[in-house]
Amino acid sequence: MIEVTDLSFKFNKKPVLENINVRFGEGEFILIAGNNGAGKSTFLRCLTGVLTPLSGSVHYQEGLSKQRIGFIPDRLGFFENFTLKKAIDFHTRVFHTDGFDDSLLKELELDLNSQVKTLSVGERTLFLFSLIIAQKPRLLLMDEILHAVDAYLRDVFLDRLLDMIAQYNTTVIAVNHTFSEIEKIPERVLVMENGRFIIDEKTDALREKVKKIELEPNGTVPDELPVLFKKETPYIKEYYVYPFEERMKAAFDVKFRDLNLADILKSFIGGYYVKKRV
Amino acid sequence: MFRMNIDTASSVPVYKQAIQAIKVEILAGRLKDGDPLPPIRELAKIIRLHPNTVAKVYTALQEEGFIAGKMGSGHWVTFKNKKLDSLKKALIEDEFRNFIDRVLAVGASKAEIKELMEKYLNGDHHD
Amino acid sequence: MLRKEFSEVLKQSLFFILLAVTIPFGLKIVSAYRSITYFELFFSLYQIGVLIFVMFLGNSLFLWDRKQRAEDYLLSLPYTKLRLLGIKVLPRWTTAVFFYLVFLLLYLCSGEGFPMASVFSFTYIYFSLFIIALTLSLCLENYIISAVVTLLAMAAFLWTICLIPTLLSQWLYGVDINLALENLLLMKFYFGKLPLSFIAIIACLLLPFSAAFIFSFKKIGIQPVSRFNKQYFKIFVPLLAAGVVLASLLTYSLFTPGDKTYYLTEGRRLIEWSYMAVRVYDGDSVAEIASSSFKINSILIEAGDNLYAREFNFPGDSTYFLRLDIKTPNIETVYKLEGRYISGFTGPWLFRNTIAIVEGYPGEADKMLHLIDVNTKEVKKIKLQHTSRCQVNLFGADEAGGKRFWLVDSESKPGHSVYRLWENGEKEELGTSQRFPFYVNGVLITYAKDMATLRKLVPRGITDAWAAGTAGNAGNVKTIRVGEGLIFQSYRSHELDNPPLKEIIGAIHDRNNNTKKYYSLDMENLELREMKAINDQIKQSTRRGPGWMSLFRPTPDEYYYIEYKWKNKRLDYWKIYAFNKGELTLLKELPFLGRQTKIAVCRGGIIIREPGRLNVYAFPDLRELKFKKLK
Repeated sequence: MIEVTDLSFKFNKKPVLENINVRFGEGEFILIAGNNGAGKSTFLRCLTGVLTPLSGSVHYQEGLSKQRIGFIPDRLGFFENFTLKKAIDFHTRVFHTDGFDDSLLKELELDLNSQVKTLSVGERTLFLFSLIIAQKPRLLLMDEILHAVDAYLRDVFLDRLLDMIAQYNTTVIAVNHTFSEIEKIPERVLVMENGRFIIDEKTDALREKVKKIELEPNGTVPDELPVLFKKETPYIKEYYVYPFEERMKAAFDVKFRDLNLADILKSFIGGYYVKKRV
Repeated sequence: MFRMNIDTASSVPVYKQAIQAIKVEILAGRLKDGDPLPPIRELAKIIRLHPNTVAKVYTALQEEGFIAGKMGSGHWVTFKNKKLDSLKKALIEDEFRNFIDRVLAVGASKAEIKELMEKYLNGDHHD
Repeated sequence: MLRKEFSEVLKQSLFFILLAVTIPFGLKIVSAYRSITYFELFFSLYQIGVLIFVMFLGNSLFLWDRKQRAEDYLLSLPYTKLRLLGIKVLPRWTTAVFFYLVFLLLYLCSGEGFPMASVFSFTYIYFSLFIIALTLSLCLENYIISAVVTLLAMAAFLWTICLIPTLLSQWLYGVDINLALENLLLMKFYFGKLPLSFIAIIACLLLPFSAAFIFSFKKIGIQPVSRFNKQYFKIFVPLLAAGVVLASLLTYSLFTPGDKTYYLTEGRRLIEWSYMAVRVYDGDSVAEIASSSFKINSILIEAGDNLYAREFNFPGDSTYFLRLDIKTPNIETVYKLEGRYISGFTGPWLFRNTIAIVEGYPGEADKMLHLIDVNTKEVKKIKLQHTSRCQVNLFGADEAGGKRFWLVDSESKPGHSVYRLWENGEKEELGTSQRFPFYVNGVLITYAKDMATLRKLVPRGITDAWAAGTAGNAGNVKTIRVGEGLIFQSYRSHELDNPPLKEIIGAIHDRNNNTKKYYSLDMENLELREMKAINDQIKQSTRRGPGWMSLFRPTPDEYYYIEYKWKNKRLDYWKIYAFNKGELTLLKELPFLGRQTKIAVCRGGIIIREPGRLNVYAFPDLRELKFKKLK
C-alpha cells in the first residue's frame, strides 16, 4: 500500500531520518515506537506529504487518493476559529465524504456552535477522529495522541477505531501507543532509533525474541547473554534480553520471563538511552 | 458473556489464546450448541483485538468444527459431542498441569496437595 | 476551501475600509486639516493605505494557518500543492485588483485630468509590491520581519528598474548619470515605445520572486523554513541574474533612433538633439553644446541665430523655455513654468524680445499671461479674465502709439472672442469671429459666415486702399465677401512680428467632397481671386483629395504644397510642390515611407528620418544636403 524508499530528512543539517526503506501492506495495523526525538512524527509527516523528504520517496499504491487518507497529527492542528459545524461542513466537502455521522459528537455532548479551540484535548482528538471516519479511510496515520486523552475517552476512541477498521479494512499506522488497551491490536511493530528502524517485526515474533530475567541483587548474568537494557535497584535486578533464542533456556540456568508489548518497547527505548550515555 | 483472560505477557500468540478461551467456554458448556457468537466487530471491541485477528480466530474455530457460519452473516456454536471427551480431557489436563505447577512453586508438598484436594473436592468447593 | 479564504480576505478588507473611511474624519477634527476637504484627505490617505494593505495582503498568505497551527491539516487536504496555492492566491489577487480599481475610480473623481505618468507608476508599484509580498510570505515566520524584508526587497526592485536604463544610457550614450537619474520615470526611454515593454521589464524582475516561490512551495511545502529558503535562493539567484540581463537587453532594444531629433534652420544649419548632446551641423563642421542637461522637446521659434525650444520635465511636471544661440553655440533657460501639466499652457509666442505664454486650463475661465524678456529674463504677469471657460491663443502682436499690444483669441463653444491686450494691462474688446482670426499688415481679419471683416488696428500699413474707401466701408473697417468657411493661412504661428505681405492665401475646405479651394487676397486693393490653376491641378493630381496641413509657408514669399496619400494604413508617398506663381510645380516625390519614418517640416526644409537613415532636403528646391560630420 505504501512503499518507502531511501527516505532521508534533515532539519537544520541534523539528520532526522536516514535511508529508511519499508513497506506497509493493506489492512495492516502497525505500531511505531521509539524514544522521544527518534524521528517518528517526522516520518509520519513525510508519509502524509506535510513534509518533503530530502531524498528518497514515498510511493502510494495506485488509486489511493488523499481523500481516503486520514491524518491525526500530534499537534492536533486544525482551523481553530471554525465552529464545529463549519469544520464538519468544510471537511466533508473538501474530502468528498458520504455524509457525516455525528453520533460520536452527540455522545460527547459537544455543542456544534462552539469553536474548535474551546474543545479540550480529548474532545478535540475525538472530533478530528470523527471527521476522519466520515472519509471511510483506507489509511489512517495517527501520531502520539492518545496519551493526552482521558481513560474514558480513550475507550470510546478505541471502540470507534475498531469499528472503523472492521468496516473499511483501514490500514493503520500508529505512533507510540503503548497502553495496555491497545496492546493486542497491532500485528506489526517498528522501533525507530536515531532516524532508523532498528526493529521491524510481527508482534508475535517480537514477543518470542525479548525476555526478561529477574535476579536477586547479588545475582549475576552470564556475559554471553545479549542484554538490551537493565534496571538495577537495591532490591531487584531486571535484565531485558534481546534477541532471545530457544536454546538459551537450556544453555543458561536462569528463568526467562515473557513480556508484554509495552515492556518490550520500553526496553528498547531504555536501551537507546543506555547507548546514548555510553 | 464469557470471560477471556488473555495474557499479553505471554509468548503464546494472542489469537491462539483467544481460540483456547472460546474452546473452554464451549467445552465447559457455557456456550451451547446453536448459541450465536458476537459478530467479529463486536467481539473485537469487547476483547480489544484487531478485527482481522478475530476473523482468524473464528476461521480456526470453524475449521476445527467448533463453530459454523459465514463472514458477514454471523457465527454460532456447533457442538459435536463426540469430540467432547478427548478435547475436554486434554483441556482439563492442561489446566491441571498449570495448577500443579503453581502450587508446587509456592512450596507445597505432594502430601499437602493430596490433602487439600480431598478437602476442596469433598467439602466446601467453589465454582 | 476557496470560500474560507475569501471570507478571511473579506474580513481583512473590511478592517482596512473601516480605517480608511474613519481616519480622515478623525484628521478633520485637527485644525491643521480643516481646510482640506474630506475627499482630498481620504484620497491621499487611501493611496498610502492601500499600498500598505496590499503588502499585508501578500505577506499574510499563510498567516492565519500558521497562527492556528493548521499547517499539518492544510497540507493533508486532498489538493495538489499547486492547487492549494491557487486557492490561497486567487482571493487575494482579486481583492488587490478590486482595491486598485477603487483607486482608479477615486482618481477620476478627483478631476485631476490624466497625467499618465503618476497613474502608471502607481500601478506598477502597487502590483509589484503585492507580488513581492506574496512571494516572500513563506520565507519568514515572524510577520513583522516579513513586512520589513518585503519593503527592502521592493526598494531594491525599484532601484534596479531605475539603475538599468541609467547605467545603460551612461555606457552606450555617455549620458551623465545624474541627468539620467533625474529622469527616474524615464518617459523618453520607455514611452517612445509602448508601456508594454516596460511591463515586460518589470516582469523580468518579478519572475525570480514568483518562480522561486511557486517551485519551492511545490517541492518543500511550508516546513522547515530553512530548507524552504535554501531552495528559494537556489532558484531566485540565477533567475534574478537572468532577469536583470534580459531586462537590460529589452531596455537596450528600446533605445530607438527616435532618440535623436532634428531641425533644419533657414540658414541651412542642422540642429540635432538627444539625451547626449545638442549639436549644430553646418556644412562640414559640427559644434557641440557640451554636457547637455537640456531635454529639448521641440523647437518652435526661429529668430535669426536664436532658436527657442520647449522642454518638459516630468518629475515635478515643469516646462522650460530654452533659447539656443546657434552662433556660439549655447543654450540657456529663458523661463521655467512650474508644476503645470502639458495641457496647462498655450504658447510660447515671440514678439520682438518678449516671449508670451498663456497659463491656464481649457476648463478654466481665467488665465495668466506671462511676458518674459529674453535678455533680462524679467517677467511680467497679466491676468486674463473671461466670462466662461475657454482656450486662449495669441495670434498677433504689434506696436501703436509707443505701446505694445497682443492680440488674443479666446475660443469657447459658440465661437471666438477677440480682444487686444495692451502692455499696461488694458483690455480692448474687438468683437467676435466664427473662425480663428488673422492679423497681417496691421489688419485684423475676423469672419462671419461668408463675410470677412478687415479692421485696421495701427496707423501704418498700405494706406492707399484704405484711404480710398468704397461705399459702405468707412474709415478703418472694411467688409468683403470671402465665401463660407474660408480661412486665411497663417504665416508663422509662434512668431508674432511678421513683415507686411502683398497678398495672403486663404482656403476653403469642402469636407463633403474632400477638396480644398485656394484663394488669394491682394492686400493693396483687397480683391479676392480664386487660384484657378492651382485648384484645377489639385483636383487632377489627387483622386483622394488633399490631406491635412497641406500648405506650408516658411518665408513670406514661399508656399509649399505637400500632398500625401495613404495606402493600407501606410503612407504611400509624399509629394512636395512649390505653390508659387499661381501654379503647382512638383519639387520632390518621396515614395513608400515605412512605419518608422519620421518627417519633420522645418523652416529650412524637410527632414526624413528612418532607422539607420537620415535625409535632409532644403528649401526652395529641396536639394539634398549632406553634412560630413553627421553620424
